[in-house]
Amino acid sequence: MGLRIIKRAIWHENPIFHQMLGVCSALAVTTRVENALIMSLAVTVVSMGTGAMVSLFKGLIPRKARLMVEMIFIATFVILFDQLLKAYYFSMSKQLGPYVGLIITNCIILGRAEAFAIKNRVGPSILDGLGNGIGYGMILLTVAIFRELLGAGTLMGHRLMPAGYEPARAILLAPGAFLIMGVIIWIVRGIQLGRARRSS
Amino acid sequence: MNRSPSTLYTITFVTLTALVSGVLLMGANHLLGSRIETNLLNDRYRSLFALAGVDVSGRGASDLKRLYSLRFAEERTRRGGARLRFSSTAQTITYIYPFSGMGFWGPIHGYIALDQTLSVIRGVVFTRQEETPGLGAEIVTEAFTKRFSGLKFTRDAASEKVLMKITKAGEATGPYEIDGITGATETTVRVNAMIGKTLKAAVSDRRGGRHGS
Repeated sequence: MGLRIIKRAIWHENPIFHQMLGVCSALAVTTRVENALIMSLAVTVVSMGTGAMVSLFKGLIPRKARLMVEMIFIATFVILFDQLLKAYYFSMSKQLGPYVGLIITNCIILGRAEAFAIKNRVGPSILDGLGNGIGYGMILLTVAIFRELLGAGTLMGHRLMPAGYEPARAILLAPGAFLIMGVIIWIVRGIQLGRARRSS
Repeated sequence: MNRSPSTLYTITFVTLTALVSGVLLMGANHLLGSRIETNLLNDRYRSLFALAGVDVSGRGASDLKRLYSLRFAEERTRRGGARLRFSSTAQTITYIYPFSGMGFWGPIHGYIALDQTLSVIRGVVFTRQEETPGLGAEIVTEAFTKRFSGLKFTRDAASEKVLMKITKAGEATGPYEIDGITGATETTVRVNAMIGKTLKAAVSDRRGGRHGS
């Protein structure tokens, strides 16, 4: 049951290539692999925490104010993560700048709270948050690897491309990220549709 | 969740949730606040020592604080701003001017170090910026900041006109110009303006004799 929830969140209902959620931040932070890693971790932690809280209080949260309450949960987890980052990983916090704070507006978290946590028990809601965080992180890392390598000639800050390589700066711009993400979504959806056709 | 509660219940629930969240965040801030403050202060010290050409890697917070109070003195500029005077063990002096302004996405803060005659740039460091990662945010990289090192910003010590200019990438010509960042023209223009303004303050100090000999 637990594994099924995680697999569904990563593959069948991936927040980026299936639900098209969280795309803005995916474009913003994927210029460096290191940034993408920390951002993925932050989204995973916040998504799990919010899922747990929404599920725990689902019987008490008034329908009219549910979005407001969910946003309070999300904001609380995001600010806590940001404070921890500033306290223990200061250089990373400096690099990510305002993007950690912007997780509050990441549609994946509110989307999963509304679509899953508000209707399910705490355990599955935490697993759903974990799966969505991993699914989001996988796409982020894939895009970041291509962008950092082609756009800066480095990977995790280490120079990998030959000395004569002229970095393709356009890849670091948002259209470059759109292009890479589009290709990834095309490949993954192609695999999924091929499998679906064969099984039917 | 399926219930249709009264307005009073809704207001009470939301208020309580916000209060609990606020208390939780206050607690976290209480626990982590001093550590964050220390990190911010250490980051400032490290930036200043790096500008002054002193290697402080491996130094702890208290050591940095002690060294800072030993080597740096805070002064006022003729225009009423702040600057720092760094005295090295070899008795050479470096003046460090803070600068700030609006970048493309948010505020940019940094320091510029000048030699004791206030004629040559020793280095530049950016301590805060919110520019586009991979583009404008590249201002913090050594590849960009080292372009300032050793640059004269006026024709001679008697000249008052600031000639230093950050141009579009690849367009720098002459000894007073340096290349900006590719694909970050807006950031380049704004950084050029804030550094230019700071250098004018330094020229004013030089005219007023507020420098070492």
